[in-house]
Amino acid sequence: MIRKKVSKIVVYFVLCTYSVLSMLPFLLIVFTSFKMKKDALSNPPTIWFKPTLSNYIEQVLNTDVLKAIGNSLIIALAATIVAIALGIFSAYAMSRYNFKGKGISQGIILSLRLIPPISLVIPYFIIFSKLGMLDNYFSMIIMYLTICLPLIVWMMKSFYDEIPIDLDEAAKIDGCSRFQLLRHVLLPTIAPGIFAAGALTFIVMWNDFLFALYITGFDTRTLPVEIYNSIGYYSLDWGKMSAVAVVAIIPAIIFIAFAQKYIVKGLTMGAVKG
Amino acid sequence: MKKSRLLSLVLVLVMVLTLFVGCQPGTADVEEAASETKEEAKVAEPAEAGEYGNIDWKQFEGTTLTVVCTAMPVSEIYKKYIPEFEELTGMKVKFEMLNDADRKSAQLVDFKAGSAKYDVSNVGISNREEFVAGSYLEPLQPYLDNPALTDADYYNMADYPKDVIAGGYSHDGTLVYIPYTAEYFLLWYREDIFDQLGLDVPKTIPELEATAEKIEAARAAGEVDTYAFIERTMGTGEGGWDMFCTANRMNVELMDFDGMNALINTDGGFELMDYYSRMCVKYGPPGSGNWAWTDVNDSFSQGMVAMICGGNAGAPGAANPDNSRVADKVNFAPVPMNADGKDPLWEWGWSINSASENKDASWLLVQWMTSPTLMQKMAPQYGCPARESIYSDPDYIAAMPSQEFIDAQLYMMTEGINPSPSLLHAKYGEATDIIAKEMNNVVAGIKDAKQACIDAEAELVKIGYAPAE
Amino acid sequence: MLGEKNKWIAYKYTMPTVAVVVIVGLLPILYSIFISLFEFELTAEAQPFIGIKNYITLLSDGRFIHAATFTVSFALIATTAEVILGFTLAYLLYSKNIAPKFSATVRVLMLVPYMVAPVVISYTFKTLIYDVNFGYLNAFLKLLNLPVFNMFEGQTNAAIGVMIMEIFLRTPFTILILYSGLSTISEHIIEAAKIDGAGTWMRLRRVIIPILKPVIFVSFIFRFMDALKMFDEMFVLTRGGPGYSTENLSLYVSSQGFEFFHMGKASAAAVIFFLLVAIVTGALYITFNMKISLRRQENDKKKSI
Repeated sequence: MIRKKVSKIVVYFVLCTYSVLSMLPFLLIVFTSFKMKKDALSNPPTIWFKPTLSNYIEQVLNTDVLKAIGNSLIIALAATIVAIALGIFSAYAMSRYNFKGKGISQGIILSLRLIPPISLVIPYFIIFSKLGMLDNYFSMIIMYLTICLPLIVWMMKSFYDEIPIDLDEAAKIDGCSRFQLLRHVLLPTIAPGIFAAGALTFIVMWNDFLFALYITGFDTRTLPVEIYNSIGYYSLDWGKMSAVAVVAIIPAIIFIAFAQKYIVKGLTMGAVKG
Repeated sequence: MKKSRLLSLVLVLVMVLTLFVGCQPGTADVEEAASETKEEAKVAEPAEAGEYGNIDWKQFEGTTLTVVCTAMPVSEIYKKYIPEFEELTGMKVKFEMLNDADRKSAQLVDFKAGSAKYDVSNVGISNREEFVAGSYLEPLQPYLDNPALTDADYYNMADYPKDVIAGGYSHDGTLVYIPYTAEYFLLWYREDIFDQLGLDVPKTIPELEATAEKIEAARAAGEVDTYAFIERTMGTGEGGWDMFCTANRMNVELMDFDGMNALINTDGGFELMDYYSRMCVKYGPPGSGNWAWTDVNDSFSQGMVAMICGGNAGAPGAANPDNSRVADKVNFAPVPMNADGKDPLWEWGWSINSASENKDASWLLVQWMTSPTLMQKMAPQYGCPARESIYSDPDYIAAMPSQEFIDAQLYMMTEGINPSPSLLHAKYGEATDIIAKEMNNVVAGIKDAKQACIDAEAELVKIGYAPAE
Repeated sequence: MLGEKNKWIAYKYTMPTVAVVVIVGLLPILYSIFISLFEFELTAEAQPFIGIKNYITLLSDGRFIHAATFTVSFALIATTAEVILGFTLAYLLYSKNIAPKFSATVRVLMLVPYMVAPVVISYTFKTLIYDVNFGYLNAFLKLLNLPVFNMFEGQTNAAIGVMIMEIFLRTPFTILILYSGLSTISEHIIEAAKIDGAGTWMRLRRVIIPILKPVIFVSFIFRFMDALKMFDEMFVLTRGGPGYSTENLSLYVSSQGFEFFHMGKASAAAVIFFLLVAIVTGALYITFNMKISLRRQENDKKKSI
C-alpha cells in the first residue's frame, strides 16, 4: 500500500518536473518579450523586471513583421490546400484499391522524406535564379510541397483505412456514384482528420527556416527569417525577436490544445495506430 | 435626416482625432517623426533648385528606380529621406533592404542574369573587385564629368579624403562607387575605469596589451568589476575580418591572394594568431569563445568589458543611454597600431548596375544620396559620413558623443587607414573562414597557436594556395 | 476492394500526386547530380565539365568526412537517448497510478517545445540559457557553486550543448508515439502476466517491450532520419564551431553553396548527403526486419517442437 503511494508520488514528481522544464524555454521567450531592450540581457540574469508592451507595439505592429506573417500564411496555406486536394484522391485510391504499382507509388511518395532539405535547396536555388523566380510565392509553394505532400497523403490514407469498406459497398448498392460517395460519405467522415492533418503540416511549414532562408527575398520573407533578421547590423534586438517569436508560436499552441489525437497519426504517418 | 447625419459625421471625426491625440507614447512619437520628415520633404521642394546643385533635377521625371541595400541603420535613414528625392525629381524609387548575405546573393544573381532588376545598389569595399571582375558596375567618372548631370562645384569631389575616395576605385583605376560611409576601428574604452586606475590611452599594440594587463590585475584584486578586452572570436567570417584588420595594424601579411600564397604559417602569422587568441583568452569575459560583433558590442554596452576595438559606425550606439548601460562613461580614440601599421578601410558606396536601363536617372539618385546637403542632414544620425567637411558641421558635432570621437575619426580618415589592404581580394572569404576557424580552436583550448597555423595552412593548401617557404 | 474494372480509377487518382512528387522532389535531385559534374561557381562565367572530380575532392577532404561522421554519430546518440528517455516517460504517463487528466495535460504541455520554431528555441537556448554571462542555466549553476558550462571551451562541450537541447526538444515525439503504442496493448496480457506472478520489471522486459518492438523501431527510425537532416539548431547555436567540431552535413553543404558559392561542390555534397540518409536508414530498416523474421523463425521452431 505504502509502496504504491510512494511510487505514485515519485511518478507525479518526475512528470511535474518534466512539464515545468518543458515549458521553461517558452516562458523565457514570453517574459523576454515584455522586457525593455536594455534589460533583455543582463548579467546576472534577473527574475523581476519592469514589464512593457513596447516590443509588441513597435515591432510586431510594424509593416515588415506583418508582411512576414502574411507571407508565412499565404505560402503555408496554399501548399496545404494543394496537398489536401491531391491527397483526397490519391489516398482514396491507395486505401481502397490494390493495383500494380501501388507499392512503388507509395514508396516514391514516402521517399520524399528521405531527401535532406539542404539537398533540395541547392538545385532549387540554381533553377530559380536562372528562371528569375527567387523572390516568388510560387517557388516557395513548390518547395513546401516536398514537406507536406508525404505527410498529408499518408495521414489521409490511414483515415480512409479506418472507414470499413462495407460502407463503400453499401453506398454503391444504394446507387451512389464514386464522386457522390466521396463527397457525401467519406469526406465528411474524415473531415476532422483532414483538418487536423492540414493544421499539423501547416505548423511544420510555418516554422520552416531552411527553405525560407535561402529562397525568399524581400517581398516573400516569412516569419522565421524575419526573426533571424532581428540580428540587426549592430546588435541583436531581443525585444523584437522574442515578441515576434511569441506571435509565431500562437498557431502551434492553438493546434496542440485542440488536436492531440491527430498529432501522433501525423508524426508517424499512420505507421502506428493511435 | 440631414442633421443627424452631420452629427454622426462630426462624432466620428472627433473620435478619430482624439484617437490620434491620446494614444500611446510610442506611436505618437513615430507619428510626429513621420509628419516631421513629411514637412521637411514638403519644404525641400519649393526651396531653391540649387539646394542640391544647379542641374535639371526633373529631367527624368516619371522613371522608376529599384534600389537594393543592406539592412542597417544608415539604410533606414536613407529610406526616410527617399520621399524628398521623389518630390525633387518626380521619379519613383523602390527601396529594398536585405540582410547583408542576402543582399550580396541577390546582387550576384541579378548581375549574372543581366536582368537589371536593381538599378542602384550598395557595395561594400570588399565586394568591389568581385563585382568589377564581372563588369557589373558602371564606371562613374563620365557621369561626374557631365555638366548636364552633375554640378561639379557644388558636389565637390575634393571633399573626400584621398584615402577614403581611393576605395571607390577598382584596381585598374575606374571609379565604380561613391562612398557614403567611412568605417574603420576605434578603441572604445571606459573613461571611468581609465581615470580610476590612472591609465593612459594606448596608442600601439604592445601598449594595448599592457593596459589590458593592468585592468585585469585590478579586476582580480577586486578594484574593478569589468574584464579588460575582447575581440570577435566567431569562427565564420566575423572573427576572420577582425584578425585580418589586427594583422594590418601589426603590419603583418596573412595571405597573398594574387600570388596564391598562404602566409599564415610564418613568424608574422604566428605572432598574429598568438596575440589575437591570447588577448581573448586572458582578458576576455568567460564564455566569449564564439562571439560575433553583436556579442562584443553588447558586452561593452552592458559594462562587462573595459576596452574593445569597435567600428566607428557603431560607436554612437555605445554612448546612447537607450542602448547602453555605460553611456556616459565611454570615450573613443584611434585604434592602437604599430609603426607602419594601418587599419583597413571599410566603406559602403552606391553603385550603378552596368546593365541598368536607367543609368542617367540612377546617377541622379546616387549623386543626391551622396550630396553635401543630404549628408549634412543625415550625418548627425549615423556618425560616419565619407565627406570631410561634415565633421566640422555644428549639427554633426552636437549629435556626436564627444570631440575626441570626432578627432579620432578625422585622424583615422586622413592618416590611419589603408584603402587597399590585401584582404579586399575577391577570394578573401573562404581563406578567412579557415583561418578564423583555427583561431576559434585556439580560443577554445583545443590546440595551441602554432598548431593552428600549421593546420590552417594545410586546409588552405587543399583549396589551392601554396604554403609559405 | 472494389471490382477489377475500376483499377483504371486507381491510376487516375494516384498519378497526379506521384507526378507532382517526382517533379518537386526527384527532378531537383537529378538536376543536382547533373550540376555536380561541373565546376559551377556562382560568380564565374564559365562552368567546365569535370566529371566526378567534385566527388573525389569531397571524399578525400577530412573536413567533409568529419561532417559526415559527425552527422551520423550525433544522430545515433541523440536518437537513442530520446527513445530511452521517451520510453521511460511514456511508461510513467501510461501508469495507472496517476489521474488520466494529469497525464493528458502533461502530454499537451510537453509538446510546446516541439511545436515552437526551432530557430526561436535555438536562440533562446543560445543566449538566455547557455550563455555564460546572460544565461539562466549558468546562473543556476553558479548559485549551486557548480562549475559553469561553457559551450565554447574544449572539443566536445559544444556538441554536448546542442545534443542536450536536441534531446530536450524532440523527446516529446518519441513519448507520444510510445505512449500510443503502450495504450494499444491489451489489458488481458498485462493481467495474465500479473497473475503469473510477474513483477513490474519482469512485465516490462518480457511482455511490454517485446510487444512494442515495432513501435520503438518506428519512433527510432523517424527520429533518426530527422536528426540526420538537422540544420536550424546547429546553424543558430554554433555555426559549426568551435573550429569544425559541430559541423554537420547540412551546415557543410549550405556553407559551400551559400557562403562560398561553390555550387558544383555543394551539389555533389548534397547528393552524397541524400545517399547517406537513404543508405543508413535502409540499413537500419533491413536489420530490424531481419531481426523480426529471425525471431519468427525461432518461435515457429519452438512451436513445432
